[in-house]
Amino acid sequence: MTAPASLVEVQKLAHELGVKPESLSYLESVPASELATLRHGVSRAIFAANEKRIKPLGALAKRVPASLAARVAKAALGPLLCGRVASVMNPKVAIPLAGHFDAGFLAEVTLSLDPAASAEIIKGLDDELVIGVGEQLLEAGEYMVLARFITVVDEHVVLALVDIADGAQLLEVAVYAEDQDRIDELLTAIPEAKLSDVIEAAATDSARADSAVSLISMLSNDSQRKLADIAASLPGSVPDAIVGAIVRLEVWPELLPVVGSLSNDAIGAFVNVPTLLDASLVDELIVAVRSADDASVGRIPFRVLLEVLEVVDDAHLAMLNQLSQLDNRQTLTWAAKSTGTTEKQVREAIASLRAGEPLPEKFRAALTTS
Amino acid sequence: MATEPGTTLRDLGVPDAAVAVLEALPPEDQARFTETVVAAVAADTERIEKALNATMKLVPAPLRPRARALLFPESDS
Repeated sequence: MTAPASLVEVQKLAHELGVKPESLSYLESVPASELATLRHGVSRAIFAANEKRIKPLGALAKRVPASLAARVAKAALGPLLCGRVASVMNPKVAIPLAGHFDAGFLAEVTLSLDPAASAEIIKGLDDELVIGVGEQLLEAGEYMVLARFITVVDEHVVLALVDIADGAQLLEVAVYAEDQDRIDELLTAIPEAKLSDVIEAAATDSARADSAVSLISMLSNDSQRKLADIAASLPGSVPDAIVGAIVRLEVWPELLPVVGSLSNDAIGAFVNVPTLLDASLVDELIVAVRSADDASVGRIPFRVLLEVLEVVDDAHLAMLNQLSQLDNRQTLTWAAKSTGTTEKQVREAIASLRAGEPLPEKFRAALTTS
Repeated sequence: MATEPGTTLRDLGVPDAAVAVLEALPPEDQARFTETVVAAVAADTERIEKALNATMKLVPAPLRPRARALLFPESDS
């Protein structure tokens, strides 16, 4: 199984190398943190290869006033060389120079800025200019470059850009952000209506849904819960698209613990979707959950699975009767251990669920005390 | 004998920590990735060269020798 974070890292690495992500598919099994190390190293080497050629230009810029240097640089060097020159300059010199560029030109410059140098320069620019550059990058679809901004600029600047961007654009930028902790922080400040836009955009095609689920799987439990609640409140096609992506990316073990903290209505919105009418798929889900719990990858007690099974609608109830995993010995043993009950009690509980009846009182009492 | 991928990358300035990530991969993947990096560096150098040439064309003729010495120092030797 490929971790979503590794897939995102491969995309970033492909961007640095100017190749299609598919051509680097052999790297998808490498942990994301190692791929990030590789990307930073390769990026540094690409920029370093021509630094000797670029440095004299940077030295020239220091000898004239910033406004004049900016005019000459824009006319004679163009955005590629300006980006490279700025990358080798002391930020104290580069920032006033960049401040004389208009947002359109500066957006082009940022495309060739060394990512390692860009943070210091972006941090030093006026908020209005950064917002203008961000708007240009959004329009140009340069989400990976814009994602570098997100981690270094003030919250009010990010929120101004959030206001400008549509849901699909925000999703792309958030997925590529260097620091997912920053996304967790920002999620508390972004209006819920905007987050709904992002989630609805994610449901419009499978690639976007995969991006959204990749992002969600990298966030904190609080953020996951918040986004799950919003998604559950949207039309049924949205939770179905999200569940479809969870199935494709095989991130059940990572995301199922969050289900336990959702309301019954929210759980129902995710469970009663067309994707989960496939009994063989749900059997696989149960095995994945059990294996993750056995391996202590993520503690997912059987009770979370019960909460899921308890809210199924009639169509899904019929599917419950086809699940072989609910009669599987390993599952029953795990379920009894996980709930502090006996296998016999678990069998009775499953029979109740399959009959569309509430869980036996004795079993429920055992659950609450376990 | 062909140069080891790790050596090629180190020669390009890729730090040891990044090379170590690559060296944990199967040899054919190391070779593929190294080829991609070498091609990316070459493509970037070509872009820079083109941009510098375009800049030269904008420099007034009397100043071109000095500009050339600055932008293309290796061509003087």
